Amino acid sequence: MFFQQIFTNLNKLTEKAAFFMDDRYYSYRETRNRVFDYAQVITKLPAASNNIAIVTGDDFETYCSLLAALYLQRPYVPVNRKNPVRRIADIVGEAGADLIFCSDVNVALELKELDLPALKIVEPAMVASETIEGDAFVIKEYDPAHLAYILFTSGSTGKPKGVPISYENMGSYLTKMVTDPLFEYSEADRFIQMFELSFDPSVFSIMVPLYVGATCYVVPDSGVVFHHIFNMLEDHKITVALFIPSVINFLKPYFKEINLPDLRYSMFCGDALHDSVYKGWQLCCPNAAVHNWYGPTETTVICTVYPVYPDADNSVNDIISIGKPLENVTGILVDDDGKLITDLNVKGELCFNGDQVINNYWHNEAADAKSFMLHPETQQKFYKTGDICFLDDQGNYHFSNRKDFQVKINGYRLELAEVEHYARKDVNVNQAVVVKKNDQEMVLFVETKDSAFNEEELTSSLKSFLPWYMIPGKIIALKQMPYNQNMKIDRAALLALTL
Amino acid sequence: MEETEIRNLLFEIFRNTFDYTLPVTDDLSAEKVEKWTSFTHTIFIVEIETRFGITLSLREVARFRNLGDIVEAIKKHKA
Repeated sequence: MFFQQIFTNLNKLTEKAAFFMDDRYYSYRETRNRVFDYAQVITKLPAASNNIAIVTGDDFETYCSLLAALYLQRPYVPVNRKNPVRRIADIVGEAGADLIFCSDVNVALELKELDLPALKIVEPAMVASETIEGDAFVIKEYDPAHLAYILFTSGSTGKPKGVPISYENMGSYLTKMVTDPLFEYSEADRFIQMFELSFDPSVFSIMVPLYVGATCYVVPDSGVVFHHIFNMLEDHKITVALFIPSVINFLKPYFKEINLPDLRYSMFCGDALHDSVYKGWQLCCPNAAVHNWYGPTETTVICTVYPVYPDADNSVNDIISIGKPLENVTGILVDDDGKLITDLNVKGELCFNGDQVINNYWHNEAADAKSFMLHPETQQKFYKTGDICFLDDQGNYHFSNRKDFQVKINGYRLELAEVEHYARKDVNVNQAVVVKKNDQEMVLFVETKDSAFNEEELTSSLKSFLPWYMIPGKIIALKQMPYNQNMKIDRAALLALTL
Repeated sequence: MEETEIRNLLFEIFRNTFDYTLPVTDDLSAEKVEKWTSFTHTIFIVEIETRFGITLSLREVARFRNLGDIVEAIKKHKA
């Protein structure tokens, strides 16, 4: 029913704003009309594949093309326009799409120059505004087994890895988001949408406001994004915001100036949320319920929720709990041999199964073999997240580190997060990230904007908390951590700095 | 501090921060400079504050549309 409700809302043709983007509002009426235009074009174009690629943008045309694909029940494949055009073409090829929507004239031109005869490139100018008031979306059933979208992530072999999300996965997740008593959204809400469309938190920030008949405020994706976010939060009195923690890290030096009394929900996902950052942020939005969300793309946006309470002991090593699984999913912990861990506070790899969880990757048996396992007792298929977690006595999971980041230095197994935690205790350190350089040495990167930062003092402080084998061999101070396209800390870039 | 002096120092910081070799003008904005992102911007602001000996508020920096706006803000702080 989730998707049907979105198109029922659009059919009402009200003058209420569905979107704010490109410095103007677009009503539900305008959105319906333009989505209908795109749907007409898609229907008329011959295509060998059902899949429709969309070069992502922060503009109305791109969003309407995506909604048209959703209406027609054609899987959409968002591809980041900031990728090199060759990579865009590779992803489109992997997805088998022969139709691509592109609102960026430069990217469209570059795609044309690649001369891919099977690929039909559709630009906004080619989509005539022909929809009339009498036209209306036909509200249809959605086959849960059909694909809704495919997201491509970087694969270890260099070949993009496709995550195919079905209507069952997407509908199950979104329905939970609007029925869970933790969240009470209404048409009076103003949602902010700050994610690039190939990063799946955008699914929440776009679809939920359309479902409840609210307005979605889209942050421009060029220039200084965290300024755009702050201006939008303040100017438009945003009431619902899903953030990635790095945004708040950028705002951290200015916490004393920030007051957002209208913010009702402040959710975090995509990276570890630190308790020290949360405590400062909560003062900036005194009326907001703060939630920490967790979930790999394979579990459809997020699959665990933790409501953060100001006076509770929410964190371990300054990392806030990721909470309990949503009702649609089951979580288990397994050890290195795939055996079930049932004891509390024992670390293992977190695995999920349920309506929100994919069963396989897009045409990639090697990735399937590596990332899925059968439950030792029930034989149900579970997705292995690669995240090392443990369960506390309240039934909440805690993220410890990535399985890839579990390291042994000089024969000792240690947790990089613990070293980072103690480094962040230094008042001059804004962010701390440890990378393993080799089996004998790790390097600590600290982000510090303060000239008072003293490397010797930090080393001495670490030595007072940690055993010798956990002391980084080298400390490198940066004015700013590198971030990837999804605004997560770029550990690969940091590793490169150590070589 | 004279406006020309402010502009010259700001443009020097700008060129160094973003490795910018083209002519610098007041109307240059983050949208027009590839390396001017959320991440490098933080470094740019810290450098401005250090070199000019001022502290800029979030409301000031979040409203900067271009280098000309930054010149105006520095002028107010140095007045």
